[in-house]
Amino acid sequence: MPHYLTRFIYRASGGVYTAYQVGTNLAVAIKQMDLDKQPKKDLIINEILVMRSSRHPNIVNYIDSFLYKNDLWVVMEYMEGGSLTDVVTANLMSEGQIAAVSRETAQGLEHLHRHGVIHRDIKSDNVLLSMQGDIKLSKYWFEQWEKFRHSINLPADFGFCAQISDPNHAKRTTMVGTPYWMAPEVVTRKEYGAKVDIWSLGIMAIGPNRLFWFVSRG
Amino acid sequence: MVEGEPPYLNQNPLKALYLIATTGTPKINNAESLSAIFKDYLAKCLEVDVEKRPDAAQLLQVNFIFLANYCSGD
Repeated sequence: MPHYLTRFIYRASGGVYTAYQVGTNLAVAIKQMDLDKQPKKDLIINEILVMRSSRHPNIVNYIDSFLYKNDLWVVMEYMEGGSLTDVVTANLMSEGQIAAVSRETAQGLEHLHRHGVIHRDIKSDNVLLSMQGDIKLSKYWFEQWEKFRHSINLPADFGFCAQISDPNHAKRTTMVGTPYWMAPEVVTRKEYGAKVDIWSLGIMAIGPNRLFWFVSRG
Repeated sequence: MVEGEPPYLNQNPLKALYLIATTGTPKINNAESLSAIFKDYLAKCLEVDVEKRPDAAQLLQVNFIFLANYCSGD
């Protein structure tokens, strides 16, 4: 991978490496996949095309991919700052800071929703930070992957997302997500749409300890 | 994000689901300590009626979001 001859490469886990791009010094995560072991090669190509055509500053983006011998190497942004959970458990945030995080995450959601993607698992664990102060959504999931989630090795560690063909009309009923962050219409198994993510954004702004209150005293 | 406290995951998830379904919009602890525009933002996000809840584009026009412009360095 000539573009990513790295000054530092580290094997994190399961064929995922972190590295720095030569020249830009951008932190990247590189996922190695043995194509012989992938039953759905066409889906992987499809997913890469979707990721490549829908980049945004507030989501963890696809950067590039390479075929080397029989391995596919997929390069994604790597968020060195960790997750928002680390920040909220170690600090008290001001309303201005909460507003900044809310704005960045809402911009990422607006982008995903415009592309017909419902995230369905918005929570502070899935909001990642870069060392430059970027705030990005991770674990969005395109529809064509969903039914193969347990059988194939994904290019990115995306999760729990639904892509719907017509964002204005399509509705889903599957109960997916993390209980404390779920909107009432998901819990009660009604049809729901992209606004379930807005509810979870509100829960995120309240924070874990207030949820504790909500859960313990109703 | 208002306060950082220990995780809540030791609570029973089924009880949480029941309370979300029956309580609707969660009550905010010490709501009087929050600004009016923050409370307005929370009320809009946590609106049980999906029709009244803003979509992402509408949420970006809520006053609270513009508070982000004044937060550097605090």
